[in-house]
Order: sequence, then structure tokens, then C-alpha cells
Amino acid sequence: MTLSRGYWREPARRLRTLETRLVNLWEANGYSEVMPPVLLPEETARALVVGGLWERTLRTHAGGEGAFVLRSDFTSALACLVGRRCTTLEEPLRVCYAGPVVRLPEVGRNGGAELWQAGCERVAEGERNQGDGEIVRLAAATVQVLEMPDPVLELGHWDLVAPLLDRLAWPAEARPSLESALNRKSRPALEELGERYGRGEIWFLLRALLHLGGTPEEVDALEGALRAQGVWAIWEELRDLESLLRRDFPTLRVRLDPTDVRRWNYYTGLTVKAFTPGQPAAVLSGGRYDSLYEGVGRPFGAVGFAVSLSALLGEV
Amino acid sequence: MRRIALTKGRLLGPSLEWLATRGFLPQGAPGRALSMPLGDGWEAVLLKGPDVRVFVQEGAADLGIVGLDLLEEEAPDIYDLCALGFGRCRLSVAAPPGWSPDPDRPVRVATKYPRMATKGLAEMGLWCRVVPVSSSVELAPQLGLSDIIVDLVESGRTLAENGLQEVRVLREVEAHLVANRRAYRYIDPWWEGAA
Repeated sequence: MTLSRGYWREPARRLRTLETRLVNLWEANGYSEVMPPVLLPEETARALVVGGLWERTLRTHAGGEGAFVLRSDFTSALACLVGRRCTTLEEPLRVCYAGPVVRLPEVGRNGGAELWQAGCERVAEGERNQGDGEIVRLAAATVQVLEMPDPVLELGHWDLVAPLLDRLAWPAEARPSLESALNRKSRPALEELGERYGRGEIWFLLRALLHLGGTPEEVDALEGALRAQGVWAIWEELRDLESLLRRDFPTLRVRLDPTDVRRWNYYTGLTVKAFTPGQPAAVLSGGRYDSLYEGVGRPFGAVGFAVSLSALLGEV
Repeated sequence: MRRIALTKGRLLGPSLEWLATRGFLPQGAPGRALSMPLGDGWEAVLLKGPDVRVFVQEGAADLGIVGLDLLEEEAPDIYDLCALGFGRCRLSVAAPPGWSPDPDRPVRVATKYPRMATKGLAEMGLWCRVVPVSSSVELAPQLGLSDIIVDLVESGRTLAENGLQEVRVLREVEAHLVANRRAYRYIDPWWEGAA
């Protein structure tokens, strides 16, 4: 999708309709629309960012007038904006956005693209999981307002799986393969890794969790093992969020998928995704990413989600 | 209509047999048609292996049957649901008899699997330069295109007929059932459990 196409009459009308519906919903829930800049001179961006945020989420491009940073991702662009404006947050900051992100071509990948996204984010100081319920409810309301056919909302939690991975007494070199096996839901790959590096209680638990998404009662049956590993409370948090959704959105299908935690180096807690039959991948995705604000030197936590408007419009 | 992408060639027959054990029977012989109804709202589409990955990942097919070699080589963004127990072969290094690496230059390796070849040869302590080819890999050493090859080996007959011998097995390979992220959430897992 090129920038100019965003202004063609029919695609633009559909895009604006979706954006308006979403922003109206989010503003009605106390979120204020903000628009981080689409382009920053590199030296301005570098002055804002510390730690690993640069390598993870910002892209530098050489332009005619010097290097610049494009908004390739809203969450990191928002982190730069909020980090620059706010040193402390007495109250949670609730912001939403709608607009394009730009991905330039990279070697070995498909050509660049301009993708339209809309999303919202709750940023607060010194909290671990407060606000998760608020964001999950807002994600469910978002799915409803988008009128997607037969949607499924799915919840996961980094803290359910991460401690298991950390405690697995395997060499560090095995970790990428293990994460890949879990992300691909690959029982064969997990079996092979078990054979190579050794099977133990945690390995059996991971294998049991691998394909249990959507059938929470089966995970409930693993209570003893989850308690023994100190992650039962996290599962209960997920079950509470599920109950909240079933109460407030009784017609919405909700799944819990304990091991489908993608982008392992990004999320730090809850993950939320929405699927619809017409799309091969999630059209709404997000979660908690508390470490993002460390990258701009602020002690804030953040939880939010983004909707891929380009996917909903059939542009990707 | 739900769709399963099947790999044409040696995996097709066993794939159809496996589907039959799950109650899906192709209606009509494959012939030259590239799709066939399987009953119960399912259709099979017949593709080359690398395209199975594309059709499944992009959502044109819900499920697919593809060799583990392609899953490992291309690391697609799809779910690897289970190994199916057929299409077994091995990804191996093969070389002309008596070949030994020259320590002063990289080993030239002809292969359809650059990623796995590079990784496997590095584990053998070999520095390599990949020559990517897409067919008749066994010819490459004879014609001076490469020193060795990395390719799938089933019986070893093709290697022998082209003056090569298997040096090392890098990976055991078989057919796997794959799904895209949407299909996994919307389809009852009829593939699980005993047939």
C-alpha cells in the first residue's frame, strides 16, 4: 500500500470509517488520541533513546539531508514521545492512535510497505498487571465494534512460560530452538529437543501445555505441576480475565493459549490477540511490554494493543 | 470449503492414504487436476513443496503436508502440528569417493538447502561456500560446480549412479502436518489421536 493509496476515494473511505469507529470507542473509554511523528532526524531520536530500544524497534535510514528515523512501530514511537514529555506519571496515561507505519525494504525480505494501524495503550508508573483487565475488555469491545465475522479473542501470559524456560537445565544454545518449537506448536521439535538435552518435569509440563490452548479445564488439571513451578497464580490471573470477558461479552469466543507467546524479547506479561476466519494471522495483537519504557529511561509499564487496519482492508 | 495443500511427487500417495485413514477420500483420480474434493467440506490442492508453505502461511490453504526439510530450511510462520510417519528420508552430505576438504579454501557445496547445509557443515567444522541449485544436485561435483552436495537421500541409488557416496547424515526427515495460525483456532483437530 503506498501513501497515495491512502487517499484514494474508496479505500480512504473504508479506512476512515474504521479509524473513526475505533477512536470513538477508545475516546469514550477515556483514551486520548495522540500522533507521534512519522519521521525524526536520527540525532533527535538518538537523544531520546537509551538501552536496547534502538536495536529492537527503531529503523534508521539514510536520506538526502542526513539519516532519519521512520515510525515503523507505534509503541516505540509513543515511548519516545511519552518519555520525552513525562518524567513521572501520577495517574495512568491513556492514549490511542491511528495512522500509518512505514517499513522500508530490507535485504532478503519482501519490499517495504506502509501499513495502517490503530491502537491504544495504557502507560503507568510502577505497576505490574494493573490495567490488564481494562485493556482486555477494551480489546473485546474493539473486536465487536469492528464487526469481524466469528472472532476469537485469545489470551496468553509471558510469565506463565518464561519461568519454566528459565528453570529448564538446558544449555543456553538450546533456548532459541525451544522458543521456536513453542511458537510453532511443534511437538516433534519439542520431542527432539527433549531427546537431545534431557526430559524432566518442566519439559513434560511444556509438552502438556503446548496444544492445550482453548481448553482451560485441561490446564486446570495440571494445577499441581503449575503450583510446583510457582506459576499457578499467573494461570489464575488468566482465568479471571477470561471470566471477566465471558461475563461482559457473552457471545465472544475466548481462548487461553499458555504457550503461544510470540516476540519473546518484547512482551513481559499478558498477551492478547484476535483472529477472524478471513485472515491468516491475528488482526489485533498486543499485551504488556513493561521493559519498553526502560529504553527511554522511564520507570513506566505499558499495556496495549494494535489493530492491523491494512489486514482488515485486505491490503496485506 | 476447508483446504489442505498436498505436496506433489513422492509424498502425494502416502498423504492421500493417511487422509483416507482419517475418513477423507479423494473423489476422482488426481489426473492432471490440481485440486480434488475430499468430502466433509474439505478439498485437497496439489502443489510443489515450497508452495505448500506459501499457501498455508498466507491463508489460501488451512492445512498442509510438507517435508520437514522445507520447514527447517525456510522456517515459515506456521504451526508444525505433527510428524506423520511417512516420506522418511535423510538430509545428507555426499561427496565423490576419496574427497577431503582443502584447508586453504572453502568447500563448495551445491544444495537446495543453503541454511541447513551451512549449519550442518559448520557443525562438522567445515568452512563452506554455498552454490544454490534447484534440481539435479547430484550432477554438480561431476561438472565442477561444487566439491560436495547436501541433498535428500532415500535409498542412496541416485547418489551411487552419479559417483557420490554419503558422507554424513545431517537430519532425519519425514512428512509433517502444518497449519496456519487462523486454521488452528477454527478447525476441530481431527488429526489428533489414533486413526
